[in-house]
Amino acid sequence: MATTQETQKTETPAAAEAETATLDVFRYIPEEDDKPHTETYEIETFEGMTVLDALIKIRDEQDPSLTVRHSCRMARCGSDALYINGTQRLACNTQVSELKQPIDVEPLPRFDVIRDLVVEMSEFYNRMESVEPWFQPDHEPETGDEYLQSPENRKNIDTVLDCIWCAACTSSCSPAASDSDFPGPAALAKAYRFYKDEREGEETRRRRLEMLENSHGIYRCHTQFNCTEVCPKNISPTEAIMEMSRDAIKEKLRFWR
Amino acid sequence: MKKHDVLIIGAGGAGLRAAVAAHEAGADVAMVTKLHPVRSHTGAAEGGINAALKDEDDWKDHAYDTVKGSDYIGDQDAIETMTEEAPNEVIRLENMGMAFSRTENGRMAQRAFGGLSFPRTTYASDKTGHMLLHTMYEQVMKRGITVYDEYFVTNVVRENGKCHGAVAVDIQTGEVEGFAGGATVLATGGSGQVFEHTTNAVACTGDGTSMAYRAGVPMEDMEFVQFHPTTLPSTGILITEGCRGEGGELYNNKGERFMYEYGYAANDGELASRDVVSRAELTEVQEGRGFEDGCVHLDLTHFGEEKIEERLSQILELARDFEDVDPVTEPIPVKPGQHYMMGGVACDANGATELDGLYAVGETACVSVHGANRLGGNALLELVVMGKLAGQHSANNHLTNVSTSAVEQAVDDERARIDELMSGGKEHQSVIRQDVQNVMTEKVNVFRAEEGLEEALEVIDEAKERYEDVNVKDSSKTFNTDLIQALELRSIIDCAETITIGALKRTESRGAHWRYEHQDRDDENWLKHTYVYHTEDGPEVKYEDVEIKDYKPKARSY
Amino acid sequence: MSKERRVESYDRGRIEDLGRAKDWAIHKPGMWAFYLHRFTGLVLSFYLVMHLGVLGTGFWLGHEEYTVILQGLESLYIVRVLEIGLFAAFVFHALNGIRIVMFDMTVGLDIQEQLFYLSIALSFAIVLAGVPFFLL
Repeated sequence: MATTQETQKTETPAAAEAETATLDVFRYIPEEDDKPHTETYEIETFEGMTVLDALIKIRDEQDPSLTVRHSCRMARCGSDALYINGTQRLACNTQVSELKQPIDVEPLPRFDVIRDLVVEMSEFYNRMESVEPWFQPDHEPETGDEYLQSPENRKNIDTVLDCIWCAACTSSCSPAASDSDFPGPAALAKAYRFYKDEREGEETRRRRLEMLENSHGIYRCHTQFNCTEVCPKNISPTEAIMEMSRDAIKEKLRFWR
Repeated sequence: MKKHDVLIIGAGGAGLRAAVAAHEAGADVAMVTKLHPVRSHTGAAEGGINAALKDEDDWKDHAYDTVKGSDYIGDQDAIETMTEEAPNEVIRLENMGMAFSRTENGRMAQRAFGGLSFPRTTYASDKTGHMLLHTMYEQVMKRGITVYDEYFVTNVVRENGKCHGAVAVDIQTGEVEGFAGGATVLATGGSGQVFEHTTNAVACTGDGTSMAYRAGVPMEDMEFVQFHPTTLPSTGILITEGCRGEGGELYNNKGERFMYEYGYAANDGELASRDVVSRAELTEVQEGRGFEDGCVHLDLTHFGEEKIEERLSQILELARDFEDVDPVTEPIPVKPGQHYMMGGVACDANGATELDGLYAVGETACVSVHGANRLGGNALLELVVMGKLAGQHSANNHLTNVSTSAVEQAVDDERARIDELMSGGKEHQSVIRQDVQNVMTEKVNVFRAEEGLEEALEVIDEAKERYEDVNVKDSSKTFNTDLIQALELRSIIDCAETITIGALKRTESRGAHWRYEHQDRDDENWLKHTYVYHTEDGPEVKYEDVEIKDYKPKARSY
Repeated sequence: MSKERRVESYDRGRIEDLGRAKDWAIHKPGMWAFYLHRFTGLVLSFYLVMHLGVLGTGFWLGHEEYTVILQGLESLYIVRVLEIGLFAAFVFHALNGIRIVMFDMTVGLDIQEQLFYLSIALSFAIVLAGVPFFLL
């Protein structure tokens, strides 16, 4: 009796330990490969393991050449947006246990690949910069030192302020893929952050709208909602874009002014 | 080779602020960073930024709180400069468009924070660092300042007692590149990766500190390492002090608010300074009143969902995603984790170091405004105030006769060193790194004992030797993170060594530094800054008295 | 300062994009709504061309021939079934069109998925109710 209990005791943790995950990882090293290929890794998992943990484990234990951008590991720096099981997500806040196996890990689609899971981000940064994402008040502060902003107005931009530039949305956006002059969802959400900020004043608001209302701007959006679906920070760029285009159209409708 | 008047190494809050200030002073500025600026770890700062903005508040009170928080080892001149400048700088941030949370009448909101006598922590929800980082980067974009992103700076160039620039590896191409600069500002952040359980990013490896150290500039007060009382146990992710500032309560497994019940901080309770709360938590755990995994509970359930959503939305997200706990209905398990390095590159209030042309700013630097323990909300403040001062000073005083040949020579040396690293060795960097991190977390933690410190020093010494024969397995030139990590490991070992030596030699308990054998503060012998110099035969330690001005040392209680 | 590329990178290209699109599971409801709207729109415009062609026979060939052609077409069972398809395309396109106009007025953006399902469900109901009229 005692012995069976003992064996049972030793067996259960062993069975629990044996839990593994299989990852199909996109690999491409420019010096070695003409074309990308998929490599399969099997790893032991632990409770609470994220995809980033899994990739780091593969890198540390199996294949040090596996390359992925990552830094803060708390969904703040936005370095590690990847295409995991058919969706753009942050590797660091995606649990391995919640994914169907084998887990398919690819770099962000529609971005050129520098190496493995690392993509060329320069175009994305240029898109972000194209909407003039900096504060441009058209007047001096009301109080002499600080600008006044109502808590309601601040609340309106709370979600868009949370953007971490991970590029998940821009990667998911098909208009952004076919039109390089279109700033894309992330940049337009950033533009909206300033557009809605009452501290900038009416003049700047109008100028921002004029800058964006064209067929390569807010009117490019097809309301596919891909950006909204993939955003790890629950921002809805579609909502931001639609609000700006509504305002733009409304202003156009008042043609007699 | 690239040439600029002012080179800023690192593009977190301090670097960006310095760049903007230097640009405004008319210098040709460039930033060199191993991440893109918006990936910097300033973004992870949550709580807020201290400034005596209100009429009822006084910057002198802020200065006193800071001195007291520093356990009287902070430089009082520098602290006064920082706290006096604080309101201006916070308003400057607002004028740059930073989205602070607002009060009903539309002004910037402030909340209570640990160790402060007045609720003067200006905040932007619980994402203050994120907002600050993005606002500063927006200003850099606006000014068209050159940013070299994904360049890993490995060394500063020293010749004839002057700094002529830096050498960097282009992470994307693998090429070594020289940067000649009339002034070089190190703003590379902290070295949290020395520890295994840390709130810091993987990129926080203390590169700047180590570079300056190797260029002959001393590291100051490295033994003072802040352990944040509330981090998630499994990942080390930070739960902001704002939780307690808004009224969050800490409980042990008997359901007692131990901060009051056991007299750790009879007045301020949870809002005592961080070192006090961290020690209290660990004492509770050691005396058997903790929860699983060495945790205590942080209870926010009495706030109601709306308040948490509004003021602590990120905490909600982090606790749910990374600890599978819902703060609205259940307490969050927390434990202390490495958070901030009070020490760093020794420099004056303008960020200037002993070496002409080399500056340090932010967490990399030790001015020292934080002394033995930093108050929450003072880090972001240091970034902007010291960033501005260093930026201005470096723009006005940069060297005009930069020796490009020295930079070229340094590039050749660095190329040779990297070739050697790549040529193979015995041990992989990840193994050595883990050994150092583990021993630091175990032995050089909140409570430190002589034996443990000596043991840690042995492991670090060994690691130094093992590093001589480190192995980079990845042979590609493109985006070789294996190589970058091997280069970072040297910085980690340097920082670990100086922390441990400082801690071993300081035979007293002060602020965040606590020794079993010497549990009291010893003002007679130890009102001193530690300086560690790099020499051929290992580190050399020197001391210098702290200048006490208006604020005389008193017993410190909260 | 705008950024430039420093390394040569691998362009995964359109082909790969399309290859990925073959996996139906990756498309989200909003995307399906977009596809269906485009598809039904194409069907309707294609029908419009045919419709004009048939009407044109009255002009070019005379109205007797026109009647013969129309009666001939209507007697074909397959044409009736196709008409149901046309009707379905029309109904969905109209309903989803309302959904999109709502978005333009920033109404219902946060329930776009539900609105899509609603337009599908309503289309089904309306088309089912209309079947007898086409087949009788």
